Amino acid sequence: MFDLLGQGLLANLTPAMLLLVLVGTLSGMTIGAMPGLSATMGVALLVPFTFAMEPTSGLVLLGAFYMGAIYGGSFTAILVNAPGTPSSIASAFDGYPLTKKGRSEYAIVGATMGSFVGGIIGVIALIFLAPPLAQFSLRFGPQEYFWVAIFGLTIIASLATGSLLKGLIGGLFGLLLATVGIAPVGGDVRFIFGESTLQGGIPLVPALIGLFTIPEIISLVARRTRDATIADDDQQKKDTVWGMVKDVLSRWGNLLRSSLIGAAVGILPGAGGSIANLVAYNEAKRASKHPETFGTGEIDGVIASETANNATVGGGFIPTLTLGVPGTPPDAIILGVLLLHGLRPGAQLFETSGPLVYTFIIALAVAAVMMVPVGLIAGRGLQRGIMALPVRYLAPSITVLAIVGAYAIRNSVFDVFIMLALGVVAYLLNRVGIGGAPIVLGLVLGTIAETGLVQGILTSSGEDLPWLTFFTRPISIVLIVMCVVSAVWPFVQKRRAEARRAQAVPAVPVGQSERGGKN
Amino acid sequence: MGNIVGGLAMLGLCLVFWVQRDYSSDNGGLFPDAVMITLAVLSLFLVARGVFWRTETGWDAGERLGWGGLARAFLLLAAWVASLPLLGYVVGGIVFFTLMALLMRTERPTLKNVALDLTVAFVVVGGFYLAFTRVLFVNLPELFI
Repeated sequence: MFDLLGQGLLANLTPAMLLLVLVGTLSGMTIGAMPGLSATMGVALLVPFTFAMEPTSGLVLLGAFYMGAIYGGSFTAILVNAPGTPSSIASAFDGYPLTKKGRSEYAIVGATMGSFVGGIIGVIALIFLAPPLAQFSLRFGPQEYFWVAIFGLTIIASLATGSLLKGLIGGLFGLLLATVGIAPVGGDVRFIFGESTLQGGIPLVPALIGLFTIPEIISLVARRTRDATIADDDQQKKDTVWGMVKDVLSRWGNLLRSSLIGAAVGILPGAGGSIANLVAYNEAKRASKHPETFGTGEIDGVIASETANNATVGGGFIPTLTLGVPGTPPDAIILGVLLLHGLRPGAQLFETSGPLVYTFIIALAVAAVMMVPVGLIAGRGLQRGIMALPVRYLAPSITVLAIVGAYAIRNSVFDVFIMLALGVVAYLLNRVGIGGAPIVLGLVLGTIAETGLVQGILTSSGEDLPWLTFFTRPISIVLIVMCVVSAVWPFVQKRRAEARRAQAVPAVPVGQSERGGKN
Repeated sequence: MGNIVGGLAMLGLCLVFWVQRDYSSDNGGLFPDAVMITLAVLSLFLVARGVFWRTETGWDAGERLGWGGLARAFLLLAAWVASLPLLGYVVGGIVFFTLMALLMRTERPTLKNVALDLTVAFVVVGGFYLAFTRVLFVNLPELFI
């Protein structure tokens, strides 16, 4: 294996291949940064261009593009609160508040370094753990997928900064929106209100743009200034890039944990970056000594999200290359390209086409490395451009981006209407304390939860009590325990923090207390 | 009051979805019904909280925006999006980009300001149009009238 790895590395270090990886990474970043153009769509658009190339070059270009696209989604999430891809939802939770505080450059550096580390660790997992992890992932049945979705939903407990009740209501509203359209199992057409376009359900990207971006546009247009919003910070000007890079890399616990989460979630077919970034964000908050700072501009939130979503790239290729089961939608497209070139996924692929496979895997790592200089230059350039833009041009520019993003996903004006309607609803719900983040969480996880629930019941319909299978399977039990811990942990942290604060208050002498009482 | 408004809005939404129930398979309603019932129960809790816990306003603690500003924002966005099928992306984009930029000026706009805003609108809208239609081959809504 190490011989093949060495060959792959040498093949990637030729000028032509480096240029190909650079082009792939840069164009992937550009596509990923545009809301509405997902990594999946970008990879699909690129496929015809690879037909004329030899298999190795084509796969290298696709892999580098995919890695860059997942990273590029962070730019708009951080700078204008519009996640470019569903994989960057959690990056907006703290990235945009950092921008509001005038620390957008710090957030971009955090996202870049997180993506780099996540990308590399995902590739390492792909190289060394592919066969055993792929076999393990096959033990996940519908019941386990249901619990994975519920585990994702427990994040609401930590996302709901104000009231847990309102957070849960937001999450359930998202789940209800996810039931619109044709049922994932059974094919019932539900809640379309006579509009056939809704049969495909509420499209995720227009919904994301509406729930996150439209309230910000409303706020900018209504206020007409950027007072307290998207300011520039003197502190940022004093920080050097190297200082910020060192600070991000010193958070190795978060980087490692989020990478492992990303690689593990990436292995599960159908899960991918859209879930990994949320789970990693939640775990970073749970592990933090200052969980109360999350949601207000905590760099660890951005790092966790971006590290995990890039780690899913390597993780997702584990079942794709070893079992032929794509971990994420872009993996499915790349799997198609492999098949087109006559390459059959499986354990034999690593033996029969070893040089090609390892060149492709190393190219993913090279793309992760290339994201650092490219991202630090392009990302910071974009950040400075947005900071310099007067607010009267910023608001309509974001609106143009939002409209194009919502439209492009299905070439449908109806999706733009959905985006606006959800945006206005999100703004109004924000006024009563129901935030957009739990709604998005419900919308993303709803289909996975419903599919797991109904398939689980159908597959165990021969049992006396089909419901019991959700609680008796070994992996399900582990996931249930994780759900309980994840749901309860924020309250434990809150109690601990209160206890610490109570201890920190110095004891007041009795006499003083009495005087205070009289006054 | 915010809790009562939010809770009632969610109850109304549940009602709208509930009357639309029309399932054709055995398990088609399993998940949505469970979600609707739970959402309705929690919304009732929220209303009850608003009624019995008067000390909590229930409104978001963030900055309150003026009605005039909000009306400007809602109308501009609604008109922009509604005009898409008629004016298309380019014409609608340039018109509403310019209008939004002008309405966001805090001083009375001069002719020079109008020309500047129009130029910026042309560059931004045109730039996105070329990028999407010529490079990415994504068609954008065309002028209909």
